[in-house]
Amino acid sequence: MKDAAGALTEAASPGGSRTPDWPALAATGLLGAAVPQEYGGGGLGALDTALLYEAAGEGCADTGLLFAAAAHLFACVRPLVEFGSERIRKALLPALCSGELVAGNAMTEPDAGSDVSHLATRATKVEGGYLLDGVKSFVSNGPVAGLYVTYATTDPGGAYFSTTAFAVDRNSPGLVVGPPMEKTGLTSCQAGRIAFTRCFVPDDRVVGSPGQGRLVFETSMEWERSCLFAIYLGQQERLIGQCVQHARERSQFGKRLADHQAVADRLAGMRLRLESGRLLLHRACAEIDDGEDASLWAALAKLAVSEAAVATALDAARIFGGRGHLTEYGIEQQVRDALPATTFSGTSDIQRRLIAREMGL
Amino acid sequence: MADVDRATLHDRLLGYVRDDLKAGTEAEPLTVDSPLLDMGVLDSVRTARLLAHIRSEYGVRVPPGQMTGEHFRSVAAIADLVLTLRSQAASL
Ligand SMILES: Cc1cc2nc3c(=O)[nH]c(=O)nc-3n(C[C@H](O)[C@H](O)[C@H](O)COP(=O)(O)OP(=O)(O)OC[C@H]3O[C@@H](n4cnc5c(N)ncnc54)[C@H](O)[C@@H]3O)c2cc1C
Repeated sequence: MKDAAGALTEAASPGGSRTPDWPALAATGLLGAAVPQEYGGGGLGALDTALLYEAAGEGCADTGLLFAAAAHLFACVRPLVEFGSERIRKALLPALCSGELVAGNAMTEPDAGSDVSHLATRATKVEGGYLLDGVKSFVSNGPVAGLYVTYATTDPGGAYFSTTAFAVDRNSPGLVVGPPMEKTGLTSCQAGRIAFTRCFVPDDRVVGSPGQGRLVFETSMEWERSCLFAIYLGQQERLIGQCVQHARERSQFGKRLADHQAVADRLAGMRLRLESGRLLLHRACAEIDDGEDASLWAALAKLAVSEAAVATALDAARIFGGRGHLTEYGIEQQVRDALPATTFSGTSDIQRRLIAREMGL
Repeated sequence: MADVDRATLHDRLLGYVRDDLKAGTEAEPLTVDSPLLDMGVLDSVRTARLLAHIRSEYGVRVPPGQMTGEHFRSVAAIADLVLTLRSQAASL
């Protein structure tokens, strides 16, 4: 897997962004890893899927490319596997696994980021389906996707049951795809806005039942907070390897960097963060595979791994000194790709809130 | 927990929703038929707590298919759901 993932980046300039080659991503097994085989997937559970993404993260230095695949699988395809009707699954999953169809998750709105309990996007019931009105932002894969898994308010007084999930085709009348947003990290995964204006979605494209949107979203977030973040375990493994090599090879003050205790201590801290995050992440996956409530473990894993990814990328930049800031060494790209990890799938503050909730506070 | 009848379950769930989830007021006390969704009691945090409570207190997990507004609209509806899930678990 490491080698296959490494080959994904051969086509482009180092440090630059790429356009994902979706069939090539599919060929590595990443797009459909956690989809039952009968629908064209790999039939893996959460832990095996995480191990696959971890290996890919180690082999492929373009984290954005893997993020594009992961956003597709965990936030869009998994909800269809778990909550989609048999009709939806048969119609969409094979193409989603083969890379023929790309998906984007459209939950965030200009005024609904951390707090998605009051979505301004409305779905009004009409004969045979719903009319969607509203704007979604930060949709990863948005500019290139053929399918959107989106969420809209169907019952404003329904509290936890106020929203419904929909699988919407890109070519639906009334759906407008915005241009790619300019961002600093994960640049190989384009993100953009999606606007719905009286956009008709048929009843058979409701994912789960009406009112289950929150449940569908939370379930997909458990997969993201565990499996997607496995990419960042792989990234840390790769960075630590590069730093160890650099610390052995470069000398200052007449001895190897590795022999300066401050550098060795920094590397030990990097390893500690990686291994602690890995244990939490594997535990979260095991809880999912056992059919247990994984919310606590997924929040702990997401918090630990994303914060570790940022700290370790910054540590790598220090260990490489001036070279850490040169594009050709690739370290600065790793910093830019790690930074957003503490924001998407729920910020670090939100993970702490979830952990506190699970502690009964 | 041994078998529980509907009236006892109503009392216990009512107590939990009123005291732990802080629903209802002195002027408008909570009843088993109070509309929990319209009252905004069941936001995502309190829904998660309620589900954990049902799991630990009554030994049943609410399957995704049963997670609908219909089953959570009032204490009485939640009690019916718990009783159904318990009888299904017992017959396994
Ligand atoms: C690279 C990237 C990819 C993304 N991909 C997608 C996608 O595919 N689909 C999608 O729908 N969204 C996506 N998002 C959006 C992402 O989910 C949101 O940015 C995120 O949930 C935070 O929302 P916000 O940006 O509105 O920040 P805000 O919610 O405005 O938060 C701002 C700050 O306030 C803090 N804060 C807010 N509320 C609380 C609280 N209750 N307690 C403590 N602190 C709080 C936050 O932690 C944060 O530090 C993506 C974002 C990024 C960066």
